[in-house]
Amino acid sequence: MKAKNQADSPKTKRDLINQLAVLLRSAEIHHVKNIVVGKAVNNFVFQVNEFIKNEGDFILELRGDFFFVNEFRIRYSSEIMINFDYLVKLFRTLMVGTVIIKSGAETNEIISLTDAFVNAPKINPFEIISRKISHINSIAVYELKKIVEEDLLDARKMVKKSYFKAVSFTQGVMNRIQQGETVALKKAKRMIVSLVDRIIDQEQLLLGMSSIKDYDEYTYHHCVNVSILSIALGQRLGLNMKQLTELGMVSLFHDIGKLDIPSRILNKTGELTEEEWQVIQRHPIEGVRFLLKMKHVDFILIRSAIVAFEHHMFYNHTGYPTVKKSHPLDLYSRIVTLADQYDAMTSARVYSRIPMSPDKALNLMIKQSGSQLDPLLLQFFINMVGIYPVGTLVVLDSMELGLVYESNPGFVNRPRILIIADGEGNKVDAFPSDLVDKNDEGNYRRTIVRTLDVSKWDINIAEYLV
Amino acid sequence: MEYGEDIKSVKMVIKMLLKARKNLRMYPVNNPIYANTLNDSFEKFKAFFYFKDKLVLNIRLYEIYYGEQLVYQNNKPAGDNLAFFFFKDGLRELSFQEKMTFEELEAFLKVISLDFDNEVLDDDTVTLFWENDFQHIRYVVEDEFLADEGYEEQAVLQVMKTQNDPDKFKNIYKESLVTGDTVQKVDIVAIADNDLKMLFYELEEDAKDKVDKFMDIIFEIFYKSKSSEEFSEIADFFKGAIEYAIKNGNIESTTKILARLKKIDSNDKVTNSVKKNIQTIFHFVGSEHIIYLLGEYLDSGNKTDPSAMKALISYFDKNAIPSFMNLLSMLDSIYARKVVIDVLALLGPKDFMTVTKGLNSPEWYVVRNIIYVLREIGDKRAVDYLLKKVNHPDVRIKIEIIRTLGELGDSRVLAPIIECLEDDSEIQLKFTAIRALGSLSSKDARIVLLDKISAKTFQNKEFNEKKEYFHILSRWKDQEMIDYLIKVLMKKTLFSNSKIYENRACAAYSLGLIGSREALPFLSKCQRDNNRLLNEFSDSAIKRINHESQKSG
Repeated sequence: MKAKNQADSPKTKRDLINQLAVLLRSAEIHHVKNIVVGKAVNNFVFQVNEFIKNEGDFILELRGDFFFVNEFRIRYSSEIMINFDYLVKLFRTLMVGTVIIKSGAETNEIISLTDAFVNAPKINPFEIISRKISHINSIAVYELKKIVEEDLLDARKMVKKSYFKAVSFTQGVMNRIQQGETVALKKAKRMIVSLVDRIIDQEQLLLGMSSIKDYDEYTYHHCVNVSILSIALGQRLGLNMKQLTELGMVSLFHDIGKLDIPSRILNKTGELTEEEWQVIQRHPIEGVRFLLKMKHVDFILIRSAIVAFEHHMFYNHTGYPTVKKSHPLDLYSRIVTLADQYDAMTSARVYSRIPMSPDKALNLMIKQSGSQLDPLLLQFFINMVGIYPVGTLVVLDSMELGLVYESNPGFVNRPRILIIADGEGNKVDAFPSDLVDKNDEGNYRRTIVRTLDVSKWDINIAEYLV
Repeated sequence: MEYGEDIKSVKMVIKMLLKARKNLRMYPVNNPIYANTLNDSFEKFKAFFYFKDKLVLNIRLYEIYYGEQLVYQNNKPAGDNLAFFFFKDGLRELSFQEKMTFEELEAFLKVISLDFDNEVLDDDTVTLFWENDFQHIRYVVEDEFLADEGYEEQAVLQVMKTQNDPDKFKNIYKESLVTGDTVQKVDIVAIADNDLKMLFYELEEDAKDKVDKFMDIIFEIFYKSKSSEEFSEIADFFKGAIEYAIKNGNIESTTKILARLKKIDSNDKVTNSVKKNIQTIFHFVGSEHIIYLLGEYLDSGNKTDPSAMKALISYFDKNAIPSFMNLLSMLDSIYARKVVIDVLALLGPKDFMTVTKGLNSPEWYVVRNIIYVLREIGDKRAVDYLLKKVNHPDVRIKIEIIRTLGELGDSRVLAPIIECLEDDSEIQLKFTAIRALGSLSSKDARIVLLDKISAKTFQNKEFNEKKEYFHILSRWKDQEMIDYLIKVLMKKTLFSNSKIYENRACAAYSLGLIGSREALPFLSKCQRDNNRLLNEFSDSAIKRINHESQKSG
């Protein structure tokens, strides 16, 4: 009994999803009777039957943005990212919510399922798939369910609570550090664990919370926002729980060196003098100092110190502080730099009163790809936030006004939005619309035609996202 | 299922958890009790899963409930109270599912066995459960202690204070028709397999040690510092970094820092204030604290590269010697003790007198280690100290002393060695004494050996002891010795005396070791002798001599 139950391991479940995607992708290119597809079918049949032997039926369900295998949520990771996104997109397009494969599923039955999926029509795809496989006893499909609004509301409440808890906690910690008090990092770690937990479950809702920038205490919100963005990106990169917690911790303290900058400089509205600018540029060094004085040296402290020191050093080794001996930047530093820049650009800071709209900030970041920012990580970042990140104000082809509240995995230019004004400019009670939704003719119901600058039009997005 | 059987089973599980916490703390991983505890715990859970597929425990401050049933109670708010231990970290419910693997339970038990009260940890049970990412152990946590309820309300009020005016939307509508931004063209390149390969490479790179980079950052800060306060602070940073590196056995990184600091220290342009601070770092490295940390690391079964250790030791001064000597009585593992002995052999010449003090240790093994160190150091002054200890009651020490006296000694050591040759109580001691005479290699030592062999009593010695004498004689490869050995080899007896044959066989053995070609005709003759022992030893000696001559061409 000491041996691990292989079928029950998360890896086996991920492998099954992967194999199903491989099968469907190859069937999109080749005929289902082609040898390549045949090989993929055989592999899948073997794997799924092995799984069924230990687990009973294989139940694959898409709930929101996540797949569940036999009620076990499959975590998003780089290992399965491409196939995962492909499958989410396919299930959504076909309106398929659940596929159940029972014991004894044979090769020809899996071929029929594959054929039904890849040759489904644009109009009423689910109905046709359902009809095509109705004669197969060992396979069943069910239609995609919409997320119940009440569940979403509950999730929102929880996310809001976690977010403010994190900000309030950060404020307390930073104040204590500033006053030279000892800080119990156990609690900070607990806070980060709770945040990571929430991000894994409700990434988009937390990204939504981080997109609101009208709070008084920018510093603390910024710390938490950078932490949220970093953890979310880390999750996409396939970091494990321990690494995500580490990343959350180090990103939370990335700007700790600013605690010592006099508020007359930090809050100065006019141009900074050369001397003042030098003080600002010392904060990465001061950050290391703070951290090293704060606690004994351990792994987290080392990583925190590296990130505090490097988060303004760019991919092409420009930026600050300047160093005598240059090294490749740490992975966490490059992640935090991305998160830091994005949050800073989209926020109203003292020295830049007008925040950039999320889509514009993203465009600027793309221009900095390979020079200031790591191009590979940026690619993953865009994949995470979409072309229209949460908080982007958009005009639709229906002339309705919408606010992006969630990106859509697999559809970077078709996020989920809240309609906040009708086609004639009348404010309406906000209601959600998924831009992936199609009408009876198989055409998208709504499409973004242009973006607007939230700050230019003075729209308080908190009214919709909090 | 009989009523209450599952409850009995839960109580057994709880009892086992308490036992496991104790045993896992007390015994190392390789101890059978440790392994048995894990197995027993797993069996207890399995026994429960015979009744139900999930074990849910509700945690209260001083109690644990299984459903409505109280299964554990302890009213003391102490760490060994299982309910309190879980509750204080916010755990309110723990559930174990039937599919829980042995590895998961092991990880769970390891977490709950940690000494959170006494160890410097940034973790609690919840964060460690989380990092283990259990699939079949679930837990419900209350972390309200993190919250500041008022904050959320206040922050929400603040951001919601300005509601969006409907007229604003009308204006947007009108103006955006003509002035709105168009959709940004963002070139999205889908993530491809190659990107994933690059990412995996990045993740692999990221798994590498960070200490060197961390040190580099401290150096960068050091280069930018100006005041003596800053240097003093940075010296503390270095100390912290070194402490971490040593704790984790990162000897190479520590040596690298010390080499860089040494270089800075030797620069004439560097101020005295900086030099003073650098000296404090070197002092810290050689401190008892750091040496004990190194000892702990070595004693936990970790290995180090000997050349890296040698490089590190080159930065230690004589003040480090007492701490390393203390380690000898503290360490359990043979490997760790061996490393420390080697370190002392390297450091010893810096303060020979301090090393000799170790000869007074109450622990026999420390004394023996110190004698070994003295022998490795090779300082002849050790003889005086060793002669004082030569009558040590512990034969293990006596053996080590005799061996060392042989390697270091002069005419003064002959008497105690001869005394040991006569000691019939401990054969090992005798053998060591014979070898010590060989190590001395002196004329007097040779005479002693030949006298012993010539004595009448020699005949009656055990064959192995005789052989050892002749073995040692082979160290002298001169003609006189060869002649002597040939004489013994060819010694005739009127009667077939087996003891004489033993001597002859030993002489053949010795001639073989010397590699004397001129002995070959004699050995060939003996090879044909009827005595089996002489015959075999002569045969081996011939083969050895021929083999050696072939090798040397």
